Amino acid sequence: MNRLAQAWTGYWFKPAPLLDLAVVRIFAAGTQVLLLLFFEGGFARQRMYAALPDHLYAPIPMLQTFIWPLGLDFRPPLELIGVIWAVAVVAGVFALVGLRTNFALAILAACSVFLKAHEWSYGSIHHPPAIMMVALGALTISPCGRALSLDALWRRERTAGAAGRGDSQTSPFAGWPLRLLQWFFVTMYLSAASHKLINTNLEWANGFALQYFLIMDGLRWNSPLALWLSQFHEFILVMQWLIVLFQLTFALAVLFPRLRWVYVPAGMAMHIGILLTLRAPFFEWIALYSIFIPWSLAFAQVARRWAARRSPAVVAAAAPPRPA
Amino acid sequence: MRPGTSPPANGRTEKADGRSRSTERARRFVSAVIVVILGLQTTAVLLRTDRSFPFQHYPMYAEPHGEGEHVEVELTVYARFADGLERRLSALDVGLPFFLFRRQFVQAILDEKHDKIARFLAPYQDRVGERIVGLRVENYPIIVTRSGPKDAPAATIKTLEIEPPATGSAS
Repeated sequence: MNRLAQAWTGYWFKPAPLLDLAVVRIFAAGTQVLLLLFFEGGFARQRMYAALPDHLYAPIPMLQTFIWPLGLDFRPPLELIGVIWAVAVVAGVFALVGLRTNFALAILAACSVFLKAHEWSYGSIHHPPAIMMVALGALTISPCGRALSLDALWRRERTAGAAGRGDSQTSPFAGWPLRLLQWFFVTMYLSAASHKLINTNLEWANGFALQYFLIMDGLRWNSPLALWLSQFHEFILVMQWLIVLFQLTFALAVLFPRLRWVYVPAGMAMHIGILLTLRAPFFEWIALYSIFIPWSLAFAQVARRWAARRSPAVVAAAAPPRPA
Repeated sequence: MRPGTSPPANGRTEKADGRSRSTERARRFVSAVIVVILGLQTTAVLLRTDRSFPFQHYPMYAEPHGEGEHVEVELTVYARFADGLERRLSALDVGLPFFLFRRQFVQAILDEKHDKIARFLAPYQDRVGERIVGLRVENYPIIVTRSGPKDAPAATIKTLEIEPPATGSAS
């Protein structure tokens, strides 16, 4: 039991760079603010849902957890939705720049979940936003504001006088939100693969299914690229099997970080490809792929190269001597 | 105190102990959060539900389709009026966005849910001042083939007679 607890602590609470977490915060909060402001007309989208007929309204359990003091069937009026939307945008900007970061993230997460839960209470639930809600919630209780933030800047200034009390660059609580979201991706992809294979007795990956969706969304959303691609049956057949293989084995990218060199570009290509052809807006997933990138290592490498280009002599002098 | 460490001054020990206790409490709290989130998500995936948002399953683009199948770019709804004329009913006519029009209104016609259909049609009928006596759903005139989309005649996939509203009601 003790060994299990140690393994658990070693996995979830291994000290990790605060910078990696901060970059993910910026991606998550930034994307969420942009979606609130501009996705499908920004606030116009909320107005559209608020104007739907009453008989369509069937609050989902998550919305009911917010509205229960007013009654489980309470339908939020447009004015209330407007206030929540505006608060979400302001909190999102605070979270983005890292001002009162955790409080801002808590407000952004709660308001975003409320707005989405309200939208999904009219009988049509979509898939891209869920992981963003979980990400914002997890970031809320993490030290994601201790780097790349105004909070961190002020903290450094406050402690500048105190000798040896500078911020550390790692924290045992900086890794768990990233690992949690990585496993969340695994569950999403496994669910998608299981629907494609088990539900359809392996009939899905026949080439025609993806051709069908390319034609359907190509015509629906006016995507010439999708219609052009839909002519190549054999190529699409191979793509369908690759998609299923990718989704079924995505856990390997979490278990063996080196495989991310394969899975992360492949996943990004898949989601960007879906966006360009089917016009399916999985912006949240694309933004949250940032959890797989070791930003601190990448930045350090870029900084080293930059310094080497500016003054090679200094870098050469500072480099450790090579063994003879 | 950990083995192999020398005893620091009393004040510092208490401070360090306090910090380690609060770190341990934070670890337990976060561990519970991890277990709850992954547990709820796994449950939603296994139960194949999305009403438990933000914990849900992911069946997108997962239906199987075969060669020669009509592609559901949209399902067109035609309304037949009491005067015998037939006119197309759009999502805008019934005040719904694209997905809700398909998933709620068109689905109600396909499932013959008369009460639900009546609720969608009432505001439209009031607006145009005419009564709808029948509905017809047509598929899209495109099929999927090995070499891409191909034109095919649209076919009626559902016709439904609309019962007149009950007479003798209060208003």
